Amino acid sequence: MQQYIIRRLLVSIPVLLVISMMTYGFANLVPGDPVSAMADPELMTGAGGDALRERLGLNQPVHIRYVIWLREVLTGNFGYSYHSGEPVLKVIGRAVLPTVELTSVALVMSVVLGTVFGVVAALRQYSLYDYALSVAALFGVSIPTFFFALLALYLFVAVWGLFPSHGMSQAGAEFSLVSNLHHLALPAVVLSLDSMAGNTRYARTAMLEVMQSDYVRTARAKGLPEFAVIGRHAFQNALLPLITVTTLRLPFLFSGALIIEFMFAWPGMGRLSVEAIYLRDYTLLMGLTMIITALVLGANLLADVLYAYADPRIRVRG
Amino acid sequence: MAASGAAGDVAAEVEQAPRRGRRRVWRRFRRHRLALLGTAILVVFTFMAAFAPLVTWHDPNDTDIDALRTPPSWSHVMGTDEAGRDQYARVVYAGRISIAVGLVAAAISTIIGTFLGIVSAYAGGWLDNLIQRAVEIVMMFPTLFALILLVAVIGASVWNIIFIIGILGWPGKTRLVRGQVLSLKEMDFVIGARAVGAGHWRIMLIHILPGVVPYVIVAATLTIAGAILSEASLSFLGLGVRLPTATWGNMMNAAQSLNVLKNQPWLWLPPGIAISTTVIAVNFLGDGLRDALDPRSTID
Repeated sequence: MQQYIIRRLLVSIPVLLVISMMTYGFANLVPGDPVSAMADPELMTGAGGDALRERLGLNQPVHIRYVIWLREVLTGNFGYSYHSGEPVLKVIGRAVLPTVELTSVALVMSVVLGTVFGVVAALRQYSLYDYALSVAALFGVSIPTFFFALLALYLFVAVWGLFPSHGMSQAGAEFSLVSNLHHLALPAVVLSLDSMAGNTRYARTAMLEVMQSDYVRTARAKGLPEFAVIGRHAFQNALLPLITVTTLRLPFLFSGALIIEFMFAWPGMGRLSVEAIYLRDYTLLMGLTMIITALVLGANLLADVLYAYADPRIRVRG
Repeated sequence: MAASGAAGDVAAEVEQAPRRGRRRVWRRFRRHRLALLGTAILVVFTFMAAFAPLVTWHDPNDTDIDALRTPPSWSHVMGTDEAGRDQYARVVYAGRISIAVGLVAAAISTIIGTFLGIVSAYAGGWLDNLIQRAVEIVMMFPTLFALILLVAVIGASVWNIIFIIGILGWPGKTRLVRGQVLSLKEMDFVIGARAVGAGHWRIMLIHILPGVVPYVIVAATLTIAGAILSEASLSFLGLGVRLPTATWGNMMNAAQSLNVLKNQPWLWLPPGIAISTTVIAVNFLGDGLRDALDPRSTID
């Protein structure tokens, strides 16, 4: 297992490298540069602009800048935000925890509730419950996240005033867990809906497939009580593919978080990305891309390890 | 003589098979009521978008400074927006963009995905390896993040957005097609075709491609839904199609103000319902097609 993890980590290095090159190239093709986004372009065409460009190192060709950037990243220096002048790692560091909090709560809710809904629907196939849940799940995957968010904001914030509309906690006040959870509830639930609907559909299909398998029939034939058949034989096997599906869904969850953080002014990496695009803050954008990619790679690795542990058939070739 | 008679029977049988298959597909599809409903909704929406000038009474971009953000009335059935433009006309015209984005982007990603999937599985070796690593990298990257980045680079015109959504959507299809082709290429008819000297391209196009078409159609349908949602999200963030061109996404951008959200629901509810209905209809259609086309399905 250890060797397997090490090999997976080694494989992630070229992936990170390719993604860094692609993003660096693309980010530098963006029309306009930080200097023109920072100040009136009319004022910055002359010597002042050139001096600023030179100070920021923008007068070098792209590939040179990339190599310099990469060398610095390897020593842990992601550079300074063009916009605020703060170290990129510090800016991102502030945003990592909020995003991890939001997405992990949404992920857990979507996996647990989605699996429960899907399994129950499968056990009562063709019942009214199954039918209603299937339709609800289809609505869940179809309705855009931002429309759900608008509906939630309209009902729970604008009309009923039950939840705060933005931020992570009471502005100005001291941090409190209660206030944080109060702020978290709405964005986390809205973010989880799309994945929850997907997981429901998936769990239902997986469970239906497993229920028709020979080993479930065998378990029934040897007279096991129904809860043992479902719990031990069917459910555990249906759960396996769900791990893979959840991994594949992580990038989508982050895409959703991008919108949700933007709408609820949640101070995470999604909102930071949108701001970095608006401000053409290349260094920040590059740092964000690398950190996001590393996080997704790490989550993938974690899921693979989980899968290997969960599936006794998998004998990892070490 | 007898031999040629038998061959003739086989030929007739082969000729009838696709027709019988199609009839069975239609029978299965017809039984899926929600799929029929989805198809009907899509036909109506496409018709309205295509003949937008005939079903609306205002130009979608005409501003009226005497009627800013007016609630629904007889002359403006869905009210007007912040520039006094007719909301109903904008919702209908915006459908053109969403439907075009969905269809064209799905076509692009399906063609790329199918081609790479077939080549990957058929060629095997280093090419297969290369394509599969590319699939993994693209799949791992959050689509919306990549979309925002690329659109910022090449500019937010409708065609650029269609193109980018199209080229970001292929990995799923590649993986799906590859899986099918891996088993298809070991089939007797492929080995037979190779034995009589058919070239690689001929085998891939004539012998293998038809076998993956049912799966590809279902995946392509679901891709349409994804593409429509991607464009809407992008435009909603204000990074997609620019005003005054109306899209369902950028129309809802106005609702980011809590005041608009609360007091002018006609500004964001109609486009939100339009996009949700369209995507639900596409997904209904996709589900129906899956049940009808799946060759392994035992429902008759």
